[in-house]
Amino acid sequence: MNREFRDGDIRDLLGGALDTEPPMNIDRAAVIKAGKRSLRRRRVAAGVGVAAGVVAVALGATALAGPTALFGGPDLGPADSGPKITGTAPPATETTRPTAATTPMTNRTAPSLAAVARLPLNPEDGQSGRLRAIYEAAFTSVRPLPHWADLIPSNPKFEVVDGRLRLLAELKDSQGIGEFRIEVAKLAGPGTERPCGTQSSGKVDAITCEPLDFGEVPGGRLRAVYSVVTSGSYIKNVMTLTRPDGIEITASSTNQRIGGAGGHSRSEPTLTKANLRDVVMQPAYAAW
Amino acid sequence: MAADRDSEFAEYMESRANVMRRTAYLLCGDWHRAEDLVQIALTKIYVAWPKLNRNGSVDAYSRQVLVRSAIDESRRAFRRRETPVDALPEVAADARRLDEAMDVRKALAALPAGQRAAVVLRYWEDLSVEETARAMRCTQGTVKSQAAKGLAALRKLLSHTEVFDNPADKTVFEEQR
Repeated sequence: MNREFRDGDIRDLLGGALDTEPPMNIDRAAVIKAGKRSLRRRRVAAGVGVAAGVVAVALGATALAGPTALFGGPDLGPADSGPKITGTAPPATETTRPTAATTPMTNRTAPSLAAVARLPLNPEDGQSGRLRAIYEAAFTSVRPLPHWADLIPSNPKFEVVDGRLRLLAELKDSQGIGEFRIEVAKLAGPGTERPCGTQSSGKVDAITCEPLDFGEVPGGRLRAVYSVVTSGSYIKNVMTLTRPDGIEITASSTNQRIGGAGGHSRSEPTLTKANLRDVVMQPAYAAW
Repeated sequence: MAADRDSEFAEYMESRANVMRRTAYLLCGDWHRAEDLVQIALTKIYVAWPKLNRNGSVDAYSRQVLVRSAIDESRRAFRRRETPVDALPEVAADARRLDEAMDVRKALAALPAGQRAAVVLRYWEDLSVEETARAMRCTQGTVKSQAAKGLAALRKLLSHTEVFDNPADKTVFEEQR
């Protein structure tokens, strides 16, 4: 007996089991309909899968770069490798912030670009409303501005940048328009304050850092640093206050419009050191 | 484009559905389940039709789906119960052949799903060991051992029956034990 015969024999045997074959009941239209439904499901699942992938990547980026990494790009540019620092303030006492420099400082390091991200905030948001109220109170009730000033545009922008609640506006007075910012952050702990001058981006020619002590308040002392950043004709006055409750408030004023549009519109920033002090000394700030 | 797919697929279905159902029946031992398996396979074929048609691998894919579905189904406990039907199939056949067919079906049903698939694909579909291995997604060695075990079990189960018209055929089976 050869193998072909044996295989054929088995085939006959199996075929014998099919003797009672009933008529076919498979509906062609139903199969095609089921196939189309399956195709649709696949396409939807593929779309959902892509969306889920994007979300997963975004969440991963958020986990690595901070809670606001989903919504924006880097905020701070790399600092110049060797800015010239011209200090005018007295030596710092009992502060964790870098002391005022009386000699040129070199090798200042900018914060990491990857760690900074931006989240626009709705002006109707509660946090935005509170920050705006503080901002307006600072200009209307405390100290007169050096020149008559107004908001341009009337509605400032609000955003969260690297965990910092930010108000961004343009101030106009008789000398021109300048950018104005307030940033509020909750420090992770003692010694985590941003070093003087790190708010500056791009090429910086000089930074002066002046430590200030605004006196005793319940819970500790109010310490601040006032700095002036210059880069060519660009000038920015910055006042950073650190409260005993760990809230850090930074107010800055420049002599150019937001983003440098139109170049430098005025010779000096809109707000002086005293104005910025009034802004940061408002008691109602709360972190994002 | 969709109309082309539908017409081509319909043509394939017309020509192959019966063959597929017979294979499915040998794999599962129940005509209703066989139709379910064929429907599952045809639906999957429809979804992948452009690629399968382009590669000329429709039949291989359909066998693969049938075998995989049959093995998966056999692992589900509820499928092991008998499925009641409203009416007996209206098929005329002489009593002896029906008895023989019943014996073969019982013998096939007694085989594990893997052995049954190997026997059906090798000897009913006439596939090579390599093609059977592809359809079952296993190694060629597994196919050989499963087919051998399946045949041995069939011989054992059928050796005491009168399945063979020609006693010489039965001798062939006995020789292979």
